[in-house]
Amino acid sequence: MGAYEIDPVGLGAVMLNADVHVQNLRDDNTLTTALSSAESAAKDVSVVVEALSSFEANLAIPAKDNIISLCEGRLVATQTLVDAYVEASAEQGENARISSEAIDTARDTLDRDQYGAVDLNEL
Amino acid sequence: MARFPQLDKLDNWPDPQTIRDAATDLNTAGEKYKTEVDGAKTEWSSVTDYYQTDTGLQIQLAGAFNLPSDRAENLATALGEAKSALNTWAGAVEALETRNTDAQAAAAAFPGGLTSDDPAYQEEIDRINGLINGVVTDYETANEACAQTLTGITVPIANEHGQALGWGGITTGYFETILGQVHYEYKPPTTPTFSRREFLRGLPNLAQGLDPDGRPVKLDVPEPDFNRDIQMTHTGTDADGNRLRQPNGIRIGGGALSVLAAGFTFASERQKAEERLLQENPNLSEEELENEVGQETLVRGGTAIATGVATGAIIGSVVPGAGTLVGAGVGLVIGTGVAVALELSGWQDDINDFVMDGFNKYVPEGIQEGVGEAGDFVGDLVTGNWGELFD
Repeated sequence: MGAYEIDPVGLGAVMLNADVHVQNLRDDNTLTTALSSAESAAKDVSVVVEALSSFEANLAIPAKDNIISLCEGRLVATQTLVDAYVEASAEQGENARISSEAIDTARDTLDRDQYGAVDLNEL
Repeated sequence: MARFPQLDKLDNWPDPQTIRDAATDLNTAGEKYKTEVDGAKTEWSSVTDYYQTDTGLQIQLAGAFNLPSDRAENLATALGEAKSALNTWAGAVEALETRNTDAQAAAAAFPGGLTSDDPAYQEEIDRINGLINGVVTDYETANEACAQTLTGITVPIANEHGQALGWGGITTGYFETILGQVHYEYKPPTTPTFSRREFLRGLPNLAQGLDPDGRPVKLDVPEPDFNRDIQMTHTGTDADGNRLRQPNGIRIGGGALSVLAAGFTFASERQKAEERLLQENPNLSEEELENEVGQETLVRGGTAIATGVATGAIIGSVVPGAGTLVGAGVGLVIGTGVAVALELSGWQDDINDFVMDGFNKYVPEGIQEGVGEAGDFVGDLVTGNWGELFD
């Protein structure tokens, strides 16, 4: 059990505002369009087309997806804490204590992002 | 056309301005990503107004968007480098356009008033071919330079599964030919991953060779494809141009273990090679024998070590935090276990044979002898000084 003080409304607002940017990232096709334009611009120059294609498949798009995934992981972890706090408040009133399971889940979500699926060299 | 064999290579060149526009769009995309993530980070900065915890229980949410922001900056930098490469290429193409036009005009005007029995007829053909070939060569050089720059762009995170670990031809990925060079393509492990917390909780089970929940660990070791044409470049880079490396833990904490294992491997390969070569050809001179044994020691022993290290790295990469001492250490230990299994099953010998065949087939004789001398030196070291360590 952990002692947390959470303002679910305020924290929820922060999450919503941050998620607006994350949603913009999800909806954005600028990168794919630009890469496609670059490949078209290279026309018959196969070495450049292949290099651009490789750049897209192995670097640009995975990096973009990773960034979105990291952002989403942070929102999910926070949501876990807020949900647990709301649940605990309903049961325990002002002295609500979040279950250690919820804390572990939130930490695991961040841990997985931080260590499980990303750049190992940063450790 | 037969008079000017490369004339068609002057057609259908890319438009420099179109390339520049696409390059600008790439850079814009990178900046846009960075702006959005930075926007999320700014919104997130007020988290501490609505969230507090006991120090010991705190989950660090305040700086949670720092990592995505750093990653977005890395991506923006990479796309900026792509823009720069494309702009340089556009400039080079543009600079060649006048020469292209002149060469095409000269070819179109041929033969003019010349007849085929005129000595100047062939001279004019040669002159025009010189113009065409010069432009084509410079154009192709510019194309290659752009491609190489694009291929060399890296970001700290290569892909969503992290960077490839280890060095050599046998890891969780595969090699593929890109632009005439063989690159390593990372393939994520198929075994399930654990969170760091799950991993630490299950450490006692892992020590007994079980997974964190106490179940037997199943490893999907891919069957080696000996018919595949592998050409090792030894550039030590993956498909993204990132340098392949072992996890930090192996480099720091496992160094002594690696040296220890390497010594045993070289010693074992040397003994096997000596026995076999003497049986096959008892008339070999001592010098020839030493050189042959040296070659096999280094090539076969090196392959075995690469397999073991790479296997350790695979397992290390399955466990989150593989770059840490614990993760890499476990990876190394399990990897060694797999390497032993390979040795017992005979696979390791198959792999060594495969590499040795390639060495004999493709490496020039002079270099083979040099390798033999180096291997002989290593062999002496491990069979001489190495044994004293355990006396």
